[in-house]
Amino acid sequence: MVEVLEGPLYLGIFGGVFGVFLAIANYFLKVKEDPRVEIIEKILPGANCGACGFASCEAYAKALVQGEAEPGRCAPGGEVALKAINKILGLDVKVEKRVAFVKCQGGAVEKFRYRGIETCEASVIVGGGYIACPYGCLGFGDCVEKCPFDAIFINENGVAEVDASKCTGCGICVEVCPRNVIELVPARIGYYIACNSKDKLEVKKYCKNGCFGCGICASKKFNPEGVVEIVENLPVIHFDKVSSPQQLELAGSKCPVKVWKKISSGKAEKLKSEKVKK
Amino acid sequence: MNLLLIFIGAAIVNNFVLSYFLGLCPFLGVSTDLKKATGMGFAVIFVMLISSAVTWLIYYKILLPFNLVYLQYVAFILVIASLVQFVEMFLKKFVPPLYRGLGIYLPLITTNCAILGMTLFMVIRKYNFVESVVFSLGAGSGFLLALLIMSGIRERINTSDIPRPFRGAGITFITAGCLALIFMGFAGILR
Repeated sequence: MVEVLEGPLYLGIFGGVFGVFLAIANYFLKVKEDPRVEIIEKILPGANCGACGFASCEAYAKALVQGEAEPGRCAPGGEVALKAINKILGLDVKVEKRVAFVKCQGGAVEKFRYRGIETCEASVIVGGGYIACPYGCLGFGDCVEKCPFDAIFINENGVAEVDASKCTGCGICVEVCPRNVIELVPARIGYYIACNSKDKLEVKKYCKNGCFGCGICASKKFNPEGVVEIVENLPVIHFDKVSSPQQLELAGSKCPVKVWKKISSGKAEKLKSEKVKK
Repeated sequence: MNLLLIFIGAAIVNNFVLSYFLGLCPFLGVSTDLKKATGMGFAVIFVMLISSAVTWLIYYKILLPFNLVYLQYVAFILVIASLVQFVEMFLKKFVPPLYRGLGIYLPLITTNCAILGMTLFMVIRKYNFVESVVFSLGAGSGFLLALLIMSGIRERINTSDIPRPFRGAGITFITAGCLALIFMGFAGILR
């Protein structure tokens, strides 16, 4: 009978000794952390997307408290996080919301039939991409896969499209895209150009939707404030001059190829529910 | 010479992961990219080194003299777990960069059977103190080696065209099996 109790007894002694040892160690080795780090970390979205330039949300929170980084670098957290962080740190920093925009609406002619690995990154290696347009979206959805917020989808024309209501402007898709067809634009401007082709009339040889830089949108009549300018056969918008989306709506109203597109929102959710129904 | 043989034996010939099939969980879990694999590998080397030294002392200075050998499994687990806790605290205080580098992998290793297996082998084979330490270094390096090979292959798998039924876990298990087969080729070179 006594032998049975021997094992638990010794094990108890072992456990007790280690327990006391750890408790003492914990007392002496405790690291004091600024409580604000933890609070800010909770406010940040925790996606660890890296848009702020730090490896993780925790690292950014630490840098914020130590004053090594300014608030507003967290694109996913947006205004809510910015306001909260401003309050905690007693600062007043403002930033405007930016969203990703895919500057392509599809319609390019196929150069050849591609049957390889179905990613943009792999397909672009073969002859510079299977579509005849060297600027356009390939539509395999590398960005869809990488988007941590489920904001990108492949639309009915076979090209990627961003749902502005879900996009946080973290910019991961901009980096992933091998064609550099995605750009971050201020959400408030409302309209943007859905073409990336820098060719003039040659664009018509390979794409029916291509912008050939006619310059109607930049003309005096539709562009009285000088918001739009044609650079390299593409309209370029001066974001700082845009005061309302109506300016851009007017500029794009007479576009012969209808390349001006509204920055869409709520579409990803709708598409998803339709898929579920099917 | 004997020490060198123990090291090579533990690292390559009797590789813990690919010949003994110990610690398969982190082997498949953390081998998704090279960076993580390196972190995990070094954390394992580190913990193995310390726990081999401490468990050797516990076994030969406490368990054997007090006739408590039947407690060795539980005692070893206890020792390793509290040791990892302590090391974590120690690193957090004095070597923060290393603590951040090892990160989540350090506590995860507590439950890694490769560590317990290593300490038990050390007892069964009656290694002396120096041999035990070298053995643990070898075992840890073998673990790192296996993780590095696996993660390298998996990074390539990501960009290759795999038949649909094999995607994901399937191809990973097949790859691990092939790797183990290759390591079987070393069997018998050393005892």
